[in-house]
Amino acid sequence: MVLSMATPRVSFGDDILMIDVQDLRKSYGELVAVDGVSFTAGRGSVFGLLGPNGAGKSTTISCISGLLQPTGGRVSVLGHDVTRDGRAARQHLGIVPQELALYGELSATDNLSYWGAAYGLRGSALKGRVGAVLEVTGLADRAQEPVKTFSGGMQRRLNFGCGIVHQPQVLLLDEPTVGVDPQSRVRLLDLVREQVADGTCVLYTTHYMEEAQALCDQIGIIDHGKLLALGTLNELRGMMGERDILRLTGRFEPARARAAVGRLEHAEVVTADEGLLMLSVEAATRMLPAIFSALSDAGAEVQETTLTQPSLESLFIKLTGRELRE
Amino acid sequence: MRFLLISARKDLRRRFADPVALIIWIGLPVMLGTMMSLLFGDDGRPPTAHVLVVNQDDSLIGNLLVGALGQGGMDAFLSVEDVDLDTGRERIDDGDGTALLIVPEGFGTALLNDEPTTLTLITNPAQRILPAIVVEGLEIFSEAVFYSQRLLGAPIRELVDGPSTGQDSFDTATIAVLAAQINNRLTAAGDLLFPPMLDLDVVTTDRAGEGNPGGPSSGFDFGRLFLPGMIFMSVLFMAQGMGDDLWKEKQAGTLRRAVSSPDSLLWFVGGKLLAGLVLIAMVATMAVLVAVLALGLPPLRAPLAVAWCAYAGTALLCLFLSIAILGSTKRAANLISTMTVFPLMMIGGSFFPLELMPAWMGAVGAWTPNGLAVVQLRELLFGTPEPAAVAVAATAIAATAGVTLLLCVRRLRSFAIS
Amino acid sequence: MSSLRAALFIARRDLGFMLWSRDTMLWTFVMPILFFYFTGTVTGGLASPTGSEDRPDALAMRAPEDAGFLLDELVERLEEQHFRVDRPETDEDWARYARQLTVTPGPTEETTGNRSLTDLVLTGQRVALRFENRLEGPNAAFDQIRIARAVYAVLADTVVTSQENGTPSAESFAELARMPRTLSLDVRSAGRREDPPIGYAQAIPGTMVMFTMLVLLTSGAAQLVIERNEGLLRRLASTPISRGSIVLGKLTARVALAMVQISFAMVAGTVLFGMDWGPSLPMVIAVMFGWATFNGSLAIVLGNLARTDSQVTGIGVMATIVLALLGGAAWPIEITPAWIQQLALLLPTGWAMDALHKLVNFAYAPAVVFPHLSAMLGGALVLGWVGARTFRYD
Repeated sequence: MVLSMATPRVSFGDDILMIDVQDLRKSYGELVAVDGVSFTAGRGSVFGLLGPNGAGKSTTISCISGLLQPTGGRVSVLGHDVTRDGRAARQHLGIVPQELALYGELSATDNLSYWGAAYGLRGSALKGRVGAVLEVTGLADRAQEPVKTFSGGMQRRLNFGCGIVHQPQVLLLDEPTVGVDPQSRVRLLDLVREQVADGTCVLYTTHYMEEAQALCDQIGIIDHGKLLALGTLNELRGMMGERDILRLTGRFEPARARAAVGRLEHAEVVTADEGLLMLSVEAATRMLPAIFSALSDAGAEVQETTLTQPSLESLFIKLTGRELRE
Repeated sequence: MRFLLISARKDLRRRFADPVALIIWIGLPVMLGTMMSLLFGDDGRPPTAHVLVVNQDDSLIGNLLVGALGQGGMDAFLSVEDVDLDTGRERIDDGDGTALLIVPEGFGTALLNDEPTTLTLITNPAQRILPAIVVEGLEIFSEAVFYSQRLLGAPIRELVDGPSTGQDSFDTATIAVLAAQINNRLTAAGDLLFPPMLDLDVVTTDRAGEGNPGGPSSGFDFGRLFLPGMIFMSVLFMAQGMGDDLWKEKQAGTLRRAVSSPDSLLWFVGGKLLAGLVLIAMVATMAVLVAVLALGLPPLRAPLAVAWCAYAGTALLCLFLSIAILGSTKRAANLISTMTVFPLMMIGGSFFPLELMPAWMGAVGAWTPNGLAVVQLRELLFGTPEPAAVAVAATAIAATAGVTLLLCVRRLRSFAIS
Repeated sequence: MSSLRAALFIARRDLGFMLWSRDTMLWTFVMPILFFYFTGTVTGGLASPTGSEDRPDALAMRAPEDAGFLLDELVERLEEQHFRVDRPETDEDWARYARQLTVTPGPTEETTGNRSLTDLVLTGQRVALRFENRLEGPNAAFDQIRIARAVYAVLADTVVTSQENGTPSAESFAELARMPRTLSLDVRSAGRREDPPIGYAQAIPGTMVMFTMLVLLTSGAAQLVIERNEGLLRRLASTPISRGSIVLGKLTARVALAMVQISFAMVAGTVLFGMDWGPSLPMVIAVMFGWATFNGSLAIVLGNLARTDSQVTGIGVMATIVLALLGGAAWPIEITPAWIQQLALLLPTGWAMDALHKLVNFAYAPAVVFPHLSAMLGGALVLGWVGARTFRYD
């Protein structure tokens, strides 16, 4: 079961759309990596793209950043089409890729200076920005040391710094916290918030639901290249209908279990197979006895029960029939 | 354009961050040049064969032979040492010496009497060049003996044999006749020989295109012959080594970031070429300095030679950058680059000079990018460069660089994301 | 796992990994043939300062037409000296020749009249010959000897036939040439071989020695650096395998790989280039094994000391070139100064080359090279110990 919504064209008053993706398609032969994705994002907001590995998040970001040529659709950054007016579009973009993109032999200062200069900064402006980014990322005291001597967390922070040194109006972050220790993760998320506070539009991809919940103003749930749901956190919660997700493992006869649950009000089968039953239930704690009774009558043997209250993960499960981390 | 300069600066900084590799690159041509100087000296003399001589014949002619080997033009190629038979055999069997010459007992008498006699020459089988020179020298002697026998053999034999009539010595009239015969023959020969009716003048044209009468001692110089090729061996290895930098950037993730930046990838690659130009110029400067100090190169020739090395070396770097991104993996790329660099080095005159190769091989090699460069470098260092030839070579090299650069930039985006 | 078994485990794994890579295939099966062909072809030129019947040296000649039989005799003598005499018709063709011989009958036509070159010589008129050589190389200076020999042979023939037959002619020259020479030259080779290697086969041992060193000091050492930089050695450190076993295993793999390469190279050298390894083939193989072991140990030391594969390649190439040049593996050692030839005997490349010369060129008994083999194996042991001491996991 897939729930998709038409893309609302969100207006930010008189501001133009910072990111405008319309029916984006990217295919590799017969494999369709991104299939008709559409969304927009405005100034000083965070748009989150949430989905499991292989969902199409990185491909979407790569199309926006100009790394990949879209097969179809239209992408523009601050009104500049990334295909036809790529240079102007990229001028306003900052990238924080998933893999580190640093010159290990050079110092933090040299890395920041290079990428700042690559985006047109020079002289005292460049120097000032480099100093500011070093401060903000907490790397000022090791600024002259080769980056290869940094810890993983420090390298992640510098990776972020290289993406913001030129003060981009649009910042693309592709799973920036993968493999990062909790302390560095918190720091990175703070850095993102600081950018947003300065008016930067951020596109943030992640498969960590809690990051999306904590950071994003708008979230798009993506899987198999398609945007399954799009909205603010509250809107998405509304799609859930405030229903809990009940996860039961044990031994079931799927048809009998479906029939048994179907007779109950306020309960709906999401997934049913011989070892797993997932239900979408209103006020599950109150419904539990009835559910167990119905399943028992249907010959089911329940071994383990997990109750998940409405969240993005439960929405994801509801939309895709599987968990975010499968 | 500014991106070109900042990329070049970035790449130079990265190179200087690995000083050991840089020292090795600079050290290679210095070491090679120094070795040229050590191995072949600075007087340009050809190698000499060391001949051990066992003279079992104590005659005048036997001694003349031994003396002649070390004189008259052959002294440029041979040095002679008298030994006894046992010592001689032991030494040549041990590989000490080029050859052992055994002059048999009765050698002189046999020659005088026009009787068969044999010189035995035992050569060192581990040597390739010098034994042939010794054989040549002895063959020349053998011919000289033949002609001498034809010319003067009869009267001299008669003198040596003594009177046939049972007298103890020749009478005055007989001596006068014999002397007259010898004199007449010598006079007749002298008309043709002194001066020689076929008057051979040898001119060895040096690199300046001017003739140097006098021949072999100014004819060649190993150091000068090998040095330009050796310099370009260093340049080729440098170009190959720097060529895999795109892989390093891909693996570091910085190549993807560069692709996403607003400026053209042409400047990004151009930055690597510019950095390469600077580094190759540094290496070439050291190499040419060795040529100035060790091989007597006039210092005024140095700047052009360095500039040429830098120009050609940068073109080779273009080639290796585009070769590097042909491979689907770094190992595959290294393989392709190895398969390119060694044949180029061999056939292009960096292992051995083009002049030492068979004509067809040298002709092919002269048209490889490094072959073109080596040929003109030699002219710039030691000869008289012809502007037209330099222009042709420069154009061919530039064309190679241009084509490979375009291919590289075109493929770079897909390489970055693959 | 015992230490030896552990070492064999490492060796098998490394060897399998290295053997199946494409660059190993290239260096094992393609490059040796390329190197043999190239080096043999080029040094075949070095080997023959007198030119050869198969590869005569091109010589351009300008001489008057109808020069008479003396010019024909001169051409014949030049061809005996392994020159190929061409008569280019245009100035452009003439300019392409590095060796040029100009025969000028006289300063002016008034002096020569219509007389042929032969007539001029026989009537006591000097004929000038100018040999111009634009080559530089070890053979260039020797060209003069060969040209002079041809010219003065013609002159000598003229003198002798004038004495004996009155007026020299082609027939009298031919008759003189048919006369037996009483002085002959018996050329033999030292050592026990009647047919020591010539041509390509002379270059093969040296090329093999240089090649083995180059491959082990670059690929063999670089592999170690790459494994260290990729964290693979660090992972190996956490296993129960001792440092000594790891080093021994890696050394064994490299030596085994080198022996695979050497074996193929020897077979290729024999089949394709007619190499005859002499009567002590097992000892030749033993010497190459010793050489491979020495370089395998050296590769481990180099791989321990270098930080990047670029450094390894640079140092490996430099070391190979220097040692090959000084040891006589790259070109004939006899063309170097005497002190260099003495120095060669102190270098590992010199040991290998001297051993191979004694076995292959001189065909001596295997025991003669025991000192060489001992030196290489001893060096391998010492370097192996250093390699074990300096081995780093990261």
